[in-house]
Amino acid sequence: MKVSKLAVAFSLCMMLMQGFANAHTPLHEQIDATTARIAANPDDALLYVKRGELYRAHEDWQLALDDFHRAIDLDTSLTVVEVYIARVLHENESYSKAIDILDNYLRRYPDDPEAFLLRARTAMELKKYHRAEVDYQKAIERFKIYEAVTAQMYLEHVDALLASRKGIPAALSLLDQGLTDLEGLPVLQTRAIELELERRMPEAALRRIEALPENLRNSQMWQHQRARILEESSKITEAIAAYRQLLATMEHQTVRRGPTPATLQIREECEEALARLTDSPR
Amino acid sequence: MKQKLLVIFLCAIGAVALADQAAESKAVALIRGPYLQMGTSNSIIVCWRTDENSDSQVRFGTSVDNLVEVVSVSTATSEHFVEIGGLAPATRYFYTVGSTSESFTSADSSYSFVTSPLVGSRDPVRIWVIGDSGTASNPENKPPNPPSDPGLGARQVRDAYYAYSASRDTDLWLMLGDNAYPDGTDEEYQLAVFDMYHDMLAKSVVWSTFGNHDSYSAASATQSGAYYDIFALPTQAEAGGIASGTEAYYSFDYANIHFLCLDSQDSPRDPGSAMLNWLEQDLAATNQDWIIAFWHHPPYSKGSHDSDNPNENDGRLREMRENVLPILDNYGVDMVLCGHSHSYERSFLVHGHYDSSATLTNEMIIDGGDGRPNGDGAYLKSSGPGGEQGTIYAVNGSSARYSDGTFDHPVMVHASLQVLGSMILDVYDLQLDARFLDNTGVVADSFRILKSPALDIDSNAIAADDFKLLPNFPNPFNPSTVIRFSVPQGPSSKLRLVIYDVLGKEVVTLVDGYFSPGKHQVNWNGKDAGGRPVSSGVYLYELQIRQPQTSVSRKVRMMELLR
Repeated sequence: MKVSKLAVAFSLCMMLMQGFANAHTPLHEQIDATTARIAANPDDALLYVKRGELYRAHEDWQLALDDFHRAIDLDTSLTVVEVYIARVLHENESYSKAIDILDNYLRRYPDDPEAFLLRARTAMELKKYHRAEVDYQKAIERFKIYEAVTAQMYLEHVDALLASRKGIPAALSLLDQGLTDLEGLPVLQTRAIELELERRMPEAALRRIEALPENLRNSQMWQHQRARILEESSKITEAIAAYRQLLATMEHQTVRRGPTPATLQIREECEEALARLTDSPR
Repeated sequence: MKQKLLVIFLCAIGAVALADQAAESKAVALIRGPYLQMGTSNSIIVCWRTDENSDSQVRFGTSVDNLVEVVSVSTATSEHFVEIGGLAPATRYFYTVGSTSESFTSADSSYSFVTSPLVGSRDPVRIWVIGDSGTASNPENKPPNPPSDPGLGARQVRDAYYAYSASRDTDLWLMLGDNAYPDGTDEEYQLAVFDMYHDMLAKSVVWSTFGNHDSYSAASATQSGAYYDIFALPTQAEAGGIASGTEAYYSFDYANIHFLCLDSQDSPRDPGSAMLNWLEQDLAATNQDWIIAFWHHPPYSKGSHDSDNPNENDGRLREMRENVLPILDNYGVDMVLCGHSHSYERSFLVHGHYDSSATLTNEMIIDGGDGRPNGDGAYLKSSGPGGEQGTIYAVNGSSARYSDGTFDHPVMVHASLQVLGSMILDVYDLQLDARFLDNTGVVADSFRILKSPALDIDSNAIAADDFKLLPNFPNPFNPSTVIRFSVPQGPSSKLRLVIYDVLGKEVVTLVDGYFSPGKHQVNWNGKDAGGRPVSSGVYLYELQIRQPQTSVSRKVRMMELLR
């Protein structure tokens, strides 16, 4: 595992969470228990953080916020609780307030990837796509330092890029960067294929299919997709061959799983396509 | 691959990678493990913890008296993750762990593992499944564990399984999350996992999913914290499937089973999310006979968590049901295993139920029986168009404690109230037997899923070596069963398939005609020649074959009809 500053930062969060919810006890019981502990230790800031998280889970937004603010009042070093406050505001759909909190926090802690990620998601909710796109970029840069960047972040960043009208080429460039960073992760490649098709670049999409792992590339799903791309790019002879090949594979498959809704649909669409293509003049 | 993983692939038998830096002479003690991770047919990761930094060494071999092979890693660490490669499939290896200067474990059968069979093989597989088992680290936990012995329930469940499976290796085991209460810290993991399951950890690979209590000390977004430090899970399809890029959700193959682990706690579960995109790609790519998915939050439960409450656990139960189940249904997933509710609840064979329990219709229940061969009969899949439809859902979250609930979800055929236990899955070829074993050693629930081997390939595309009459399935049966036979190569043969009762009286002739070489099958609906249902009992079926210029050959088998 990455022995990193991120782990150190995370351990702070975990320290704050120690002893937090036994989630299988009704929340109100846990809240009551924590309230009793607060009564006995009214200056323990961490207890307020714990109860604040319980209130958040219970969607008692204002009570959660009150406890988090109280915790910061008691211990000003608990600055990370500001991110907790922002999360409550985000979940409560008070996005503008959440952004303000995160702006303030990130001015002081500009290396916190999780705060950037939360602000990016909040900006998306506010339809401030350019701002979201910038924050996703910063979050990814920082997560990369800790080798903690994930496909999810790239996919969300792509959505932000497209929403901010930076266009498919920029999104594809980002996905290619992600494919480099994440060792050719198939979910990024398949998203890129979708965008190549949207951009009407079938050859590029076909090249990306070839780059998929062999077991995925040879799956009925992607053999079917390949045939469809060939058809849509008017390579009718190749498309017919691809559809026929797929149907033949399905007929003589050596696997013992029965037909599934997915494979039945592929079979039906292949047969329809062949009927369509072989009937139409070429 | 994680940086914690210290990898050396063994390329030649007997190869020894000696450490550049000899370990210091100071005694180092083993304080955790060893435990096994990410087993495949040719590799495994052996993990352990020491109280001081040392180099790492695993000695291993196929004979307990001759551990001739050695993998050493010179980097000094207290967290040892050593991958051994170049292993033979389905082979038992004995091993010791230690440093280059000393061994921490003895060479005996306690420390041995069997590598996975080749992917796609149909060897028998035993899987142990525990959920929400982590009470040993939480003295405040609830019934039936007294504060003085919070691990009582987990220990009883463990020992019941150990006794049940004493004569049979556990090929792999699954932990359904909430492995250590209350916060999933490293210290709690020591008590609730490493101390509790020490023996099993040393000889069988465990695969885990992330529970809400695990999330109090770890985060999926960053794959950091105790859970992610402890487990070495695949991110790049190291054990099969499609690379997910994260340990939070992953897949792996074992024999003819494809396992899918999802993260219902901490990864986005929306359509279009990375996890759901990966899920669909992974399902599309597998050709395995069986698909078993597991995660923490159950899509259906009326135990300590109510799946009908749309906001239960921030909507996790609902979102898994609404967003994940349609994908699983589309690809014919066979079983879904979850925890979270501290109970055992087990469903009918169902398909297409994505809303609250009030919306369940008869059409969504593919088979409303109990799935027991000696009850309503086994669940049968693959018997026709859409034959992979139908999934069994099990909530298996009472491996250490139980909680109250209404236990009245209409999709469930069985619920064990206030009973501790674990699940055992035995997969052999196209048959899956599942049992819920309680903490006293009683099998409180069981069911079987059968798949039709007739669908394995085009029936006429393969040559039969000889004249065969195969066992009917299901057996016992009600209302119908399938009889399969094969005809040898050569000219078409005249066949006659007749059902007799135990007195030798002919009941019905099912087949009388010429058949081409290859595999064939015929259904018997339990009716006589006049179309009247016959009574319960044992019946014989005889296949006669007459080929040109040969005498008549006969084969006979027995079956049982249960009304």
